[in-house]
Amino acid sequence: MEGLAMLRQLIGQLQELLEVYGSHPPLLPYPPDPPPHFLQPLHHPLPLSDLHSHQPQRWCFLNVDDGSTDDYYSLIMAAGKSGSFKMLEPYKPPPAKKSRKERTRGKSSGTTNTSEAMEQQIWKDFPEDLFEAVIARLPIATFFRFRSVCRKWNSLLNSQSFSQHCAQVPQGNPWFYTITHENVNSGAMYDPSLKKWHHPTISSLPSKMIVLPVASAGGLVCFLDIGHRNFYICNPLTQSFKELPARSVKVWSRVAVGMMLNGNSTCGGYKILWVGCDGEFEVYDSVKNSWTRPGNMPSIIKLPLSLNFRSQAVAIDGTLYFMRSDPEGIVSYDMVTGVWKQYIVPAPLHLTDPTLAECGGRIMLVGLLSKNAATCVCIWELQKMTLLWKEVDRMPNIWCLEFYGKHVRMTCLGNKGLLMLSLRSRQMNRLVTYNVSSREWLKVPGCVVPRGRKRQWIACGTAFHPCLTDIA
Amino acid sequence: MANNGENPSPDVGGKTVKLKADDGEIFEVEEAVAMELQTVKSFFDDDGVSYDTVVPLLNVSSTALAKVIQYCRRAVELRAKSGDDEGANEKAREEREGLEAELVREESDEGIKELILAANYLNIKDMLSFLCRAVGDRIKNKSVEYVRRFFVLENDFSPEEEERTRNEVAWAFEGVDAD
Repeated sequence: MEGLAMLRQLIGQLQELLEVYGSHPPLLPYPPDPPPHFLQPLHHPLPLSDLHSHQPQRWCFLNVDDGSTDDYYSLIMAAGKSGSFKMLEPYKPPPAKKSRKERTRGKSSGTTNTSEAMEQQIWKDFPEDLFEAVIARLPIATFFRFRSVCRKWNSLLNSQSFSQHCAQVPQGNPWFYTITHENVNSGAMYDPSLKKWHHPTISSLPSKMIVLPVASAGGLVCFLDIGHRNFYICNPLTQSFKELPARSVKVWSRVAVGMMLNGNSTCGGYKILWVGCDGEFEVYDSVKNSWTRPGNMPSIIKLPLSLNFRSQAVAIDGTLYFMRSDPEGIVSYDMVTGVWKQYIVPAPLHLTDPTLAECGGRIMLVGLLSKNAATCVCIWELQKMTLLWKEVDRMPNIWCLEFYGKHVRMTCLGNKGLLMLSLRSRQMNRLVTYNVSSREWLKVPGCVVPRGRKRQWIACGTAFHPCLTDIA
Repeated sequence: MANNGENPSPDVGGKTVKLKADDGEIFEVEEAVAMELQTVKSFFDDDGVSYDTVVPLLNVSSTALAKVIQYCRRAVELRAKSGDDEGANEKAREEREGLEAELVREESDEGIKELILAANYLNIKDMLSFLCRAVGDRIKNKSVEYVRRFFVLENDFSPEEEERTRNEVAWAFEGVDAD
């Protein structure tokens, strides 16, 4: 078809023009064999997609074998006239900074092809150490994608030097590891910075049993099986997983669990404490990989301990705090001195589903206030001098209206700085994050598995600081 | 106040320091700014080194050095601004982030690479950190294949290994356009 041949020639010419002006040519997908001759700019030996290698790999919808060439023809004519090819891109144009840079490069380099060829050499002799510094600062999901770049990048998770680079990167927001109602053993992870859910395909956890996350510290999550027998530690991002040695207690009743790092990073190890209603408790030290019974609970603490099992323990400066009712308040255990203490703190009226949280060393309480038919999520801070809860924030009224007249249950996932609250009534599951220091309430997008359409129910989980190199 | 060449005193009166780039160009820099470059700081920490000595920075081009000095100068100013006031701190932090963004926005990839090598050689931790992050920002939304070409890396996986790795990390590809 004559028109087709003309069209092809026109495309070739326009591409040459574009190189001179430095804007984005419509790229074809990177072909396994050399592209047809007419599509290669005349001076250029390199395959098309190496041009302007800042372009993302894109599929150009200019399909000249399609019958509707007339439409494309007129499109190109119009675009050629305006000098801008942006309208041909299925994507939004990249941010302004790139086009400016492209333009500058296009203008200043006399022969575009040499600068293209040179570009390939820019990173060739870049020191490995600095590569690791760059990779350590990539977003977590991006790092995982780039593990398939080459063997070296894939093995970085086991590299000591890479670990050190990761340790230098300041920690951002925690992620949330949650159990969904459909698939109890492979959790869904939520990244609040990008507001994105991730669904790992391979679970680090043994598939035959049901385990629930009960505590976390650093990048590690502690799981307890549903029979309250065995503990498991896992880094949800990597395959690092460990079953802890058996506890010495033979009676498997419900326990409250606390976890903390020795020092600032996971390199120093971690400790886990479980405590039961009968006052029995044990401490696990990861450095020694064993459980010890450091003593007994002092008699001043009334037994049985009515622990609030739905509240996660809070760790501040080497002390664990557990919530308890009857008498209402808190019991604490100092990991260093081994001393248990109790604090009588009256609970706010009409409070349900309370849970402890922490922010910057302050102990907080999160719970539902239900009065008449209205329910609201409230945040209190513990006044240390008076041992009273003082209300400091509430969920915006508009959101609370949704729960009017309904019976609502709430779980708090994560309890340090950034919290995720799961609010459930009979047919509804709302997810919200709350930042304690900025007092910001944000809605969480529904959790949908890939290729699924149903929103998952999230009722259980914990927060963790995503760390590529923490090892169980 | 003038420096006696043989006995540098700790509370030195000399207010500027001379830095020499690889092409011989000399930059005269305020002392506080020069000390941001840990390499320069170590140079003077040695006994018997007078502050009048020109510091030879053989691995740094004058273009890169000029930009480094400009950044460090602004960084020192901003740090002086922040104090106990949380509001002032926040503002200083925002300004610093703006400064960093401005520096990388204008740079080509080669320019950034040169700056990274310079910041590494001169041992300026903060600068190295945000420059590395800037490179990461440029590639973070790209495909795996693109990254290989960008950094000139060979795909040395065997087909089985590649498939296995892909399966492990499949979750990270969700919602991201295919390679």
